[in-house]
Amino acid sequence: MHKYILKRLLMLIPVVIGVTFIVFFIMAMTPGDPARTILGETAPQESVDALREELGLNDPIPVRYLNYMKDLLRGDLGESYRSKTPVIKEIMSLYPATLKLAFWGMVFAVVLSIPIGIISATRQYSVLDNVSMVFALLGVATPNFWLGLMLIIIFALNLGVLPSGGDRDGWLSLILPVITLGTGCMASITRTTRSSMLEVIRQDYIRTAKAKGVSKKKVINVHALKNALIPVVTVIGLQFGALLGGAVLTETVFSWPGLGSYLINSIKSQDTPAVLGCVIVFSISFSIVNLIVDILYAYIDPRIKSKYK
Amino acid sequence: MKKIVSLLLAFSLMAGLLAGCGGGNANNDDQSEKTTIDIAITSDITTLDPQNHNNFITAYTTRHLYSNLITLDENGEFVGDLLASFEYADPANPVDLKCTLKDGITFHNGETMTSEDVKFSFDRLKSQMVSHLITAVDSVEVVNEKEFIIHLTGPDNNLFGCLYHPGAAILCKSYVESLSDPASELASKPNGSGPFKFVERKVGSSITLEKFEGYFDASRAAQSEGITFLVTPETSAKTIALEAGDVDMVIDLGTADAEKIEANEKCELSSVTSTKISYITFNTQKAPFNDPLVRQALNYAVNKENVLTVAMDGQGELLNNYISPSALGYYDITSDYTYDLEKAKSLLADAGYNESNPLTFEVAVATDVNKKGATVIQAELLKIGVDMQIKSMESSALYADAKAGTLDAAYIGWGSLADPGTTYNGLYYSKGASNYAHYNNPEVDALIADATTNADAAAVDAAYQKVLQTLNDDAMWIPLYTQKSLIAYNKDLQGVHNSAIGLHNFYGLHY
Repeated sequence: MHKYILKRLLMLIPVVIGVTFIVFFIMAMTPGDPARTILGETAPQESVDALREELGLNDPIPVRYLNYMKDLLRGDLGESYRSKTPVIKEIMSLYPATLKLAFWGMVFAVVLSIPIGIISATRQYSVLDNVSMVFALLGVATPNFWLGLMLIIIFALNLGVLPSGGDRDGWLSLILPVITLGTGCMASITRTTRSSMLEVIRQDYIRTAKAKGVSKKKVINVHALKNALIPVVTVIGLQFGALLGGAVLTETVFSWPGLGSYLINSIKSQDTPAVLGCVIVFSISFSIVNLIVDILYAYIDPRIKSKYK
Repeated sequence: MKKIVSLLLAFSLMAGLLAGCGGGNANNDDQSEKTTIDIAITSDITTLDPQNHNNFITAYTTRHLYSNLITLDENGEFVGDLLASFEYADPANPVDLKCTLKDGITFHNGETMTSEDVKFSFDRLKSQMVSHLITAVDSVEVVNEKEFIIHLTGPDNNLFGCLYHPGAAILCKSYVESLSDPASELASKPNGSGPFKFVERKVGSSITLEKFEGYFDASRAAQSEGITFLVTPETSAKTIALEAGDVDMVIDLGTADAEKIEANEKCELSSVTSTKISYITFNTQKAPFNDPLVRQALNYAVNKENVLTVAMDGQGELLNNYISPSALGYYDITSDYTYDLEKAKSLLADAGYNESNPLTFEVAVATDVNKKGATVIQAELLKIGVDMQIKSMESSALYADAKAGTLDAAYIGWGSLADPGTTYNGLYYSKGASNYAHYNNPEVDALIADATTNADAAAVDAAYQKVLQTLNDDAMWIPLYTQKSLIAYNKDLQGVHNSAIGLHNFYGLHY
């Protein structure tokens, strides 16, 4: 198992190289001049030319990429074109906020989705099942952006019980963005739990357990749930990885100071070091989340553990 | 059944708890005790080093932390900020500006400002991002602690406007030299002489300033105990934050929210005609717009009122000039381009375009606002048989293509600063960096060059006025409208200043 984990961590290296290569060249070949974008329309061409020279933008693209990779090997993510501040410093000040939002969003989604999925599966075609599925559908169909604004209007403006945005009010600031972010994930987790449970509870060993007089609660929680969890854990892992990189809309609506907004602004300004820094952090995060999911498989299903060598 | 009842009771309890612990400022009508001001801004600042940025949002912060030699008064005249006096040694040959600092100017760390700090600031600025501000400055000569002379390479009528720019702020020499890495550290540890001093910055979230008790000018001292700029990227969220009482002021209010704020009795709206203009620029070096008849025809074919209503929700003024009436460097001109479809058709016919040979072209847009306006223009032009296609592009790609001369036309904008030279040299001069019309008129170039250096104020006025009239007659653009600077604020907030240029003063804000 330890060897497996080490192997997966070493695989991060080609992932980072591949991702930086693709993103660097896309950024380099995107039309527009980062120096002009930073200085604005009112700056004379001489200033723009000077800034291009200072940022190394006149060097050939392969040379710029090699210089970036040389610095990256030393752990240096470079300086932001806009702020001239080390990218690592800016990312480290913003990433915890994104992580916090994604984590609690996922907790909210999981805490509600799995019980709803189980209840829907055990009471298939009941009113509760149908209502759950409708809410799940609404959750995935409702634009995240709209839901966020509606929650702000209801709870911040009309009721005045929660802040409208920002992160100045401690845990109260988290409530609305967590609900907004978590609602989008709930649908897929609920539906996966339901379909996985339905498949498991139709198995022979479940029928045997019921025939032997095992209580319904024990049949579900001890015999069925663990077997049903593997696809659910997969979906949770994928959703969490997506949340880390995809909380941009939620961060924007709630003025949440996370990495998503920073990435969008960096892309708009063609701030290549900042974009690359974000992409590296997101791809490493996503890889680690997938690794954790794979490790969890081994604990949920011991048969899988023996394959991790 | 029991479980359902329990669940319902639990939810009621949660709702009750939430209602009990509401946010402090939510819908709080009484702000009289509030001593600090919260202002919502659209994006985060890039740096706290005034010499290394050229954007307005960052300037909101740096120009309240630092002071400049010169400022603009309420009449739009250049007066001393740090300077007690400034005059050219020889007005007929204005290349030596004799300056005297005011008394009692201290930096936030307690150091007294001297001429050496001014010299240091100018010397450093020459190698920083906005070095273009002092292209005309050759050197700064220190006479004594309070007096110095700015030597210019040649007369430059735009100097004062450049000295007013936030990038020309005066730094503390001893402080900057004490930093181990000034380029990086000054971006996060400012030490200025402005009415506010720096408290903290949370990247992506907020910037907090507090009143500087040792500010040298009592008439412009901070009226509040401090300001916090809150980064609020989403336009609707900014408005809601103001209505909910979470912020005291919103800069750059969305035009769609203006009526809503005016109707809200807890809020006020300040609306000023800004120096920002929007226009369609033609590529005058590429068919069909290398023909002035075509350009003039389209100037008659656009109902600007409709464009303003749709694009800006009516928040603006119609523009029949090449610069905003609120900008320095504005002069009245005669423009006959009224909305006249028959005249437009007639001019197009003279240019060889008719039903059998219709005019078709593409206009590039980069924002949703401009796209809305372009849609209106497209419908208007269809009435005279002109087929205008709208091409949506990413902003930097649009400007790159416009510069390369590959576009037919583009719907873009411009915001004038305090010095007319930036506008005239940037937009109308043949080699101007923002001359996306690729307009090349030696007469206009000569007029602009003369206006930049001529010591005779009347001659400068005449030269600039002639430039604008020529551009109008040649129909380089279709000028559309001037935008409004919209600031929404709590009705009890006093001292609100709304600058047409966008460099608002916040030192007067208080309850």
